[in-house]
Amino acid sequence: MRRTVPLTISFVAGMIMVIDGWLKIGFINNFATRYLMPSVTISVGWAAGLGALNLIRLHSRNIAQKRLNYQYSFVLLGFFFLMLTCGVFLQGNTTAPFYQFFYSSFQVNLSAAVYSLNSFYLVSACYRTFRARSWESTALLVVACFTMIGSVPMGAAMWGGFPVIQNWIVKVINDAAIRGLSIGVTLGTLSQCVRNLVGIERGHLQAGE
Amino acid sequence: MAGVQVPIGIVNALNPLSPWIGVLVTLGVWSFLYKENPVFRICEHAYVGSAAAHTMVTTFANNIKPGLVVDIAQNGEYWRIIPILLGCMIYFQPFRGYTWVSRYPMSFWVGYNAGYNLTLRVAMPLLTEVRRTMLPIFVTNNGRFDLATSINNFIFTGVVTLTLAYFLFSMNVFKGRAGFMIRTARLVLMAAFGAGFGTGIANYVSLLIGRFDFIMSDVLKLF
Amino acid sequence: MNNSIWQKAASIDNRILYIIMAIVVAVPLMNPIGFPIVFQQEVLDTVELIRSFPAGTIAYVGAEVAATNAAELRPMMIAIVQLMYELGHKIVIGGFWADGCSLARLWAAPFLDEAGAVYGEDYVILGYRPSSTSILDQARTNFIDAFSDRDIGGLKLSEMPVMKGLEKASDLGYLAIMNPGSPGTATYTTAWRATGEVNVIIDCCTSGMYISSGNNYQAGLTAGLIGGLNGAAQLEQLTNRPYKAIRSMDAQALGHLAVIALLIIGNIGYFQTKREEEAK
Repeated sequence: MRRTVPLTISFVAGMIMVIDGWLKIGFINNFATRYLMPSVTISVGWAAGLGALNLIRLHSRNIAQKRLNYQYSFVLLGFFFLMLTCGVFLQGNTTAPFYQFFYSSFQVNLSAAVYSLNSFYLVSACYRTFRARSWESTALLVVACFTMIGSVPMGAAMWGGFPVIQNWIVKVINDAAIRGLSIGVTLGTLSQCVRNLVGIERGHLQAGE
Repeated sequence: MAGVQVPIGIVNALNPLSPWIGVLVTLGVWSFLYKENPVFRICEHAYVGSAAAHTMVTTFANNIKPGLVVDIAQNGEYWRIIPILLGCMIYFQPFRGYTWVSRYPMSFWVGYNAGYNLTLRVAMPLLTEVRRTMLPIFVTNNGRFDLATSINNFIFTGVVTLTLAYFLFSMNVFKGRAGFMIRTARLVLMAAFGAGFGTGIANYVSLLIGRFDFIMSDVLKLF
Repeated sequence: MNNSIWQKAASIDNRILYIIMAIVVAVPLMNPIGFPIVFQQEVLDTVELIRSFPAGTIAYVGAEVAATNAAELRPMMIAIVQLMYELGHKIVIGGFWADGCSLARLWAAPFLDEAGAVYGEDYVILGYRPSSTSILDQARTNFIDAFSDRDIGGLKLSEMPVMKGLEKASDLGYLAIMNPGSPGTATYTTAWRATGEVNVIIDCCTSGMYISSGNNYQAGLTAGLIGGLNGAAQLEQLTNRPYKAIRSMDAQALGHLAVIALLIIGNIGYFQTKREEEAK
């Protein structure tokens, strides 16, 4: 019941998709399109609250037990419920002006600002950690410098050869190496899918053990 | 479900504040570059809270609500209650003793996606990539031998082969002189990662450009 | 004496580095130097490809964006939809990133409205949906049903003139996918290109995705490629609508130069210091 049923569900859902993908069998194609695919969309949508639920649980506990820095949990829960109330209960969609105000003022700017911190850290990392200690790391650094200079108009203004070299590196060396990686990753994906389908891979069934 | 309309006057009064809030939160986040401080922590927590809420709201507005109102209530497609229940089973995950219930939807999604990938959808890109790797080594252009393209094609095919050899075969196969292949493959891969590093830097610099452009152009109207 | 200078150069405080980076990016944004844009063949070909589609073609724009990609993908998305509208193409904007369609509404819609496009007639924004694979798969046979017959604001898709003639994915003329990662171009390639629904996919990627997008372009999985801020600037220039990308190119260039300079200084300082220690 706790293992066999989930494995059967996996196998049946997967096999319907495999048959739908390769063969033209009317009722299976119809079943996949009319019922199976919408079922995935619906179930994923309804499950989307799990992350938020865990967030609420964690920060409610922080507040209840007055853990270190629990005051910030008020901020998190406050913003969460404020936007949720505006979007779900007050106006019912994301295009409503009041929700849009919170979204464009806070969410958009906070998201962009938090990730822009990476640019500063990148500078620091380049300066402190990237060292030409071996032939391989020297190759990485030299190619990176050519790619950076060649991809901006200033590089072309300095020397017309920079964009040509950058283009050659990207189109020949890089594309070829990525091709090799891509083929390897795809083969790995396929073998993993077979393992999932036949129940050899059971990592997703570990919950509760 | 239609919701309560907030008076437009309130919204109109608040909207001019929006860009300035954007500037304040950006500076608040950047204050972390000097040192850890409460303003940054507030911005950080506000970000997590608002991001989680936005995902919930968009999912509700575009997926859950139309599903309930249109598909089930209006169109009478009651079978859709089954996947709703299946999706809701995932909420048993935090409850000890009932966690196994959450395996049901998880296996459904894993099975579906495994089946999805075991079709032409993944095979076609793979085969196309393999086919486009088999480039001609002797290229002629208008009846003349094209040396540059021929060399490029040779290097391209060689690098793909080296990369595959490096990752797919055991290192023990390449001992002695054959070890040269592995060393070359490593060098070529590092060069390729260098190109990735270069374009990655462009990506990170653009994150900063985006913020400065917002502050200086969109809000302060300096240019 | 020289050695000590290099030692100092190798141990600059992080905060000074941050200030240098901020100045290097901010100053050229205010005072652009204005280096001429160098066009890449792939961008020229991509614009020609879009222009080759007749008026009335239904184009799908994959708004797979987040606010973090604003500098690169915002000007790219704006230039693309403006070009599409100018050519008389019908525009359907969808996205599987939680922010995607909301941002398309903030970024692209004002420019379309300003150009005279009418929502529902010339363009539509579908709204965020979770589970990209199942929706795109379902859209192969019934596009409107796959998106629950509702747009981002809850309006009925089936009643919109822009959706006329769009019953299944194969009715789309081409796709232009903003590609910052996953879901991105690869999602549409596996769902619609591999199954033969849509043969023309234009990959509008960030700089970070440029290397893998280049591989797909070379393999023929995508028919067009516009990469990063550089690609966006070329697109703006080619469509005669200079906006944020062109203006940002000098900031990008100086940012790159600053990173290269710091890489060199850091390495020289490291090896000088090491040599000194070995000498002692």
